Amino acid sequence: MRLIADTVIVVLVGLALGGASAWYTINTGLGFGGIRSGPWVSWPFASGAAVDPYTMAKTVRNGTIPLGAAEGLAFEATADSRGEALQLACDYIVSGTTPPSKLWTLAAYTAGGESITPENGSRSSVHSGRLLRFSDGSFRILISPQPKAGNWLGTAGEGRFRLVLRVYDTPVTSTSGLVSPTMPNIIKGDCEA
Amino acid sequence: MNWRIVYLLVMGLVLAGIVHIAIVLMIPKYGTRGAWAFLSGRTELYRFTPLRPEQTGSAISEVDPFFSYGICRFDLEEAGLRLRGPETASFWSASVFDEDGAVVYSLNNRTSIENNLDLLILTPLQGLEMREAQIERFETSVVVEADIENGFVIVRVFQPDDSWTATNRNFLSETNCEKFVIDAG
Repeated sequence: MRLIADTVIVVLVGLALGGASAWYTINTGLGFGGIRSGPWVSWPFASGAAVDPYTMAKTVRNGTIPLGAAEGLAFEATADSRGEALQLACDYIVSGTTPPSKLWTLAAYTAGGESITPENGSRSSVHSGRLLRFSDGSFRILISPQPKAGNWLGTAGEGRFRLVLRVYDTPVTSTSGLVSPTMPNIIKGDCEA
Repeated sequence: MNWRIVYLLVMGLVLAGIVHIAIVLMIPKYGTRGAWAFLSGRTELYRFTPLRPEQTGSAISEVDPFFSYGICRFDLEEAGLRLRGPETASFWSASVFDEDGAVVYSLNNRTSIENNLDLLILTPLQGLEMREAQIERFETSVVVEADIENGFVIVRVFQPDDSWTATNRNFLSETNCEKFVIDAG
């Protein structure tokens, strides 16, 4: 009787902890394959046999098509620079510089990974070729459901969202060390009550 | 009594570790949301198919809205693959995936020869045969020797705005994905 009880306890603890930790590492990107830079996380796909199993599992679970090393690198942010979750009801300012690249795009997705299509005709994505910049090459993108002057990335709806910044044809992936790249900050502005 | 609880917890933790590793490793094999699971059901072998976002729906998530995509599926057991695209001014890039969805090889228009998409995917054995046959007309191709059977190539083209739609549609529709067989003689 005691043996059965012991076995049940061990199996329950094992399944619960193992399942929860696997879910957590894959969904939050605390896996060993991620590169962090401020609020941004990236899972570079090492080409060849050396694929990180966490990167692989995350890719399949999310149903994304990963970028190969020669293509570029995708950085994902689910929180602002202070660590608070990104909310569609709030305004955000993405400012700074990106790693060197031929071009980059910034797009907002719902928590489920679908594109956001605002009804006011704006786009929930911007790219580096159509951007107003400061004289030092840095930029400022305003993320808001309301129209903004300058670089505006429109959002709609409510709940959480995530930002994906993809740098294409970047030397970051080909340099061996993958030194922590400089990424823009995400600063929270006003929120709709 | 206390030692018994500690012992049970330690056993539980060991099992948790095994479960954790098993889940992480099993997802690529049994995950149903994988791009491969979706694409293999909807595309033909050796046929280049442009992907339309409205058809893929949520199966392929977080697609870059500034890119158009095309896919070509291959089976190296059957034959090698030759993928050729026309000249274009747009930025493009391509990745070769194995059937688990891992990237085997990737390139973009600057890393390819003469900025053209001309990719030859072979098994190491087919690569050996090709070198023996010394086929010169493939000297502008990027030759990838991949030790895989099934797989697919995804080509993406940059579309800064809607005026590029036609150009990119042409590029994707003229991209050719065909079997590569070394003819004796």
